[in-house]
Parts: sequence; structure tokens; C-alpha cells
Amino acid sequence: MCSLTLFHGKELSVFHVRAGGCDGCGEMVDIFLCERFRATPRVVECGTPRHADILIVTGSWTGELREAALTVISQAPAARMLMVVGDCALGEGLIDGRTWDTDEMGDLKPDLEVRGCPVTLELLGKGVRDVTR
Amino acid sequence: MAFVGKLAYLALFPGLLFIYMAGLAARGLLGGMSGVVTGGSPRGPALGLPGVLRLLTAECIPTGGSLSAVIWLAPPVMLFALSWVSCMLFGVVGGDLALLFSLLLLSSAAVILICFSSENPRVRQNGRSEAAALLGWAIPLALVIAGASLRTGEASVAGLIDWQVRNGGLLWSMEGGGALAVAGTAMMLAAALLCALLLMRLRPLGRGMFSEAPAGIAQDITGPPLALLRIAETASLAVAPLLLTALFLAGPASNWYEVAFWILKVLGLLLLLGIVDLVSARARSDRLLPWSLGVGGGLALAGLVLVWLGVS
Repeated sequence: MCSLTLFHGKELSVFHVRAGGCDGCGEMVDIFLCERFRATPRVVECGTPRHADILIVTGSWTGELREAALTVISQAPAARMLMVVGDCALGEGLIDGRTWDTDEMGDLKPDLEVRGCPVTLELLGKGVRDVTR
Repeated sequence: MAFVGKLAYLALFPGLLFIYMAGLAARGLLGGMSGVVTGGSPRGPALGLPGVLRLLTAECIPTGGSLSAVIWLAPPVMLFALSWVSCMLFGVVGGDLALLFSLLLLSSAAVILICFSSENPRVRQNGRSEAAALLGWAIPLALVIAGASLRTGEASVAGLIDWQVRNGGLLWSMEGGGALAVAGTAMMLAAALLCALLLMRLRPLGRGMFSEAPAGIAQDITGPPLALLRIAETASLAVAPLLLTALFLAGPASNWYEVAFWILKVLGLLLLLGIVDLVSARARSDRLLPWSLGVGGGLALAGLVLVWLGVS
């Protein structure tokens, strides 16, 4: 984790995985990834999880979307960082979803949890800095 | 020993290393121009050295199927072809115009192979568009090269450049066909510029490797093969203007000011292509074939006919 920024310079590729929910956190991530809010380290959205340095998951892990989200996450490189963003994605939000403790999630563990409903841009920025430190 | 020397040419100057560095400079120029005009962050299809180093050390995720072999084979083939083209343009490796054209075809065919080998249907959909792009530049460029060869009577790259050193650039020299041939050459240059847009993947005709719908060509590729692919993508930014300069604007380069003039010619072509890219910011490559084959092919054919009339 600590060496993530060594080779990446000031730019990191982020792939956004949207699970179920109101998509309020998803909207905040979209705003965070758009150009005017870019900060250091610079984050850019990539079109495939295979190129991602960071995976950001938002929304509740509903039964229908869980499998698809896990498939997407499994396509990412082993060295990727997993940020789980928002209360719903952490199983604590208004919309009830599966938590990280269930067997269905397997060995998957988030590298960073960012709480909020919806999450704020400041916390997202801090999260990216923390996960790449 | 001569073989080792040629390998050094291919790997260093004017081959791989040179065209990658020149491609980065071209990307910087295009991106800087975009930043100045639009006020946004510079964009460009190329990838800088830190990004390439990162990819070279990144994990190569197994893809399965024939793509596993293709992703390790196609990018080096592209790089080899582009390096060889650069060496031919600089005259350190001999070869005729047909070989130069074939190497450019090989480079583009490698990308098509990647598309059709992918098990991802969204990536595979790019195969037909890439094939159309290849036809879009290959047919007009074949006519352009035929016209240049017809006018100069030379079949080799070095011969074509030597002819221009003796008689002046193909675009302005009245030798070999007079005013009619010069008019034809101007039309062929316009067609070649459209070909260059496709080869460099600039707008409005070029297709990005990462951003085009439904999914970028390189979506399945990761790690070192992706780094090589991005180096090839960067190198093509330099090879296309070098090719146009050699075909139409070549001249002596025995003094420092002649070399500086040659650099200015390459930069001028690059700026021209960059301006076309900028003014077509919202263009997509959907109407690639009508423009490249219709306009580009038409201009090239008309230019070839004018050159033929001029020299006969």
C-alpha cells in the first residue's frame, strides 16, 4: 500500500463500482472525479477495472448487484486498493444491504472505509490520500 | 557487425527510443496547444515515461484464449514496424516505398488482431471500425505513394528523398511534371494529412485506444503489453509527421540550419494536424469511411491523375 504513489507519480486511475441504493454517494464520487475537483494525487477515471489503481465502491450490496460488483472487483489487479464509500456500502445505511461479514463476500476486505450519507468531497479526498500513503 | 549496428538503429536512434521521445514531444506540443486554446488540462493519446514505467512493473492480468498470445505479440510487432519505418525515413536502413507501406499496414493490422482476439464482445466490436480505419488510410496513402513514385521515378525511400534534395521538395519543385504535377502533389498532401490523422489517432477521423465507444481497444490489456502498446501509440505521433515530411517536404540536411528547417517542417505539420484535432473537438469517428475514402481517396486519386498527366 505504501508504495502505490512511488510509480504512479501524481496520477492514479480510479474505477467506480456502483452497487444499489440512492446513488447519492455515486454522484459525489462522480463530482470528485471530474476535473475541477482534482487534487493531489490526481485521480482520473478509467474505463476498465483492469487498469485501476483504486476501486471505489458505492451503494448497498443488494442481492442482484452483489455478484456483478464482485465480478468487477475480481477483474482488478491484485495490487489495487479498495475504497468502500458511504454508509450503504458499509452495510450501515438507510438502504439495507449485505455487510462485509457475510460468507458471500469471501476474503474481500476494504483497504479503506469512508463513512457518510452521502459522503463528502473532503472525506473522499482525504480517503484517496490515506489509501495511497 | 552490420547486423548489430542495424539493431542499434532500430532500438535507439532513429528507431524505438527516438520515436518514443519524439512522440512525447509531439504529445507535449499538441497537449500544450490544447491547454492554451481551450484553457483545460492538456490531453493526448500518448503516455509519459512515469506512466510507462508504472505499467511495465504492473501486473499482467491473464485474459485467456488467443488474446493471451496476441497481447504479447502485437505491441512488439507494432513497435518494430514503426521503428523500421523511422529508420527508413532517416536513411539508415534501406528499403523501398512498398516495404514502408507494408510496415505501416503491419502496425495497424496488429491492433485489429487485438480486437478480434478479445473475448470481450464490447472490445471485439471495435474490430470492424479498426479495419475500416485501416482501409481509410491505407487506400489513400497507397495512391499518394504511387503518385510520389510516379513523379520522381523512384521506388525507394532514399531515392525519393535524394530526388527532393536535388530538385527541391515534391510540393514546390517544378521538376517532374511541371505545374500540373505540383497541383496534383498538393491534392495528395491533403489526402496524406487525412491519413496522418488516422495513423496518429487524432480527431476527427482517429479512434482512441481507450475512450471510443463501446469500449477501448486496450481494455483487456494490462501490465507490460499495455506499456508497449502505449509506447507504440506515442511513437505513431512522431512517425506520421516524419513520413509526410519525407514524402513531400524533404530537402538537404547537411548544415545545422537545414536540419533546423527540417525540424520546423515537421513541427509545422504537427501544428496543422493539432489544429484540425482541436477544431473537431466534438467530432466522432463514425463517418470515418466516407471522409477518408471519399474525400481522402478522391483527393489522392485526383492528385495521382494530375501527376500522371503532368509527367506523361
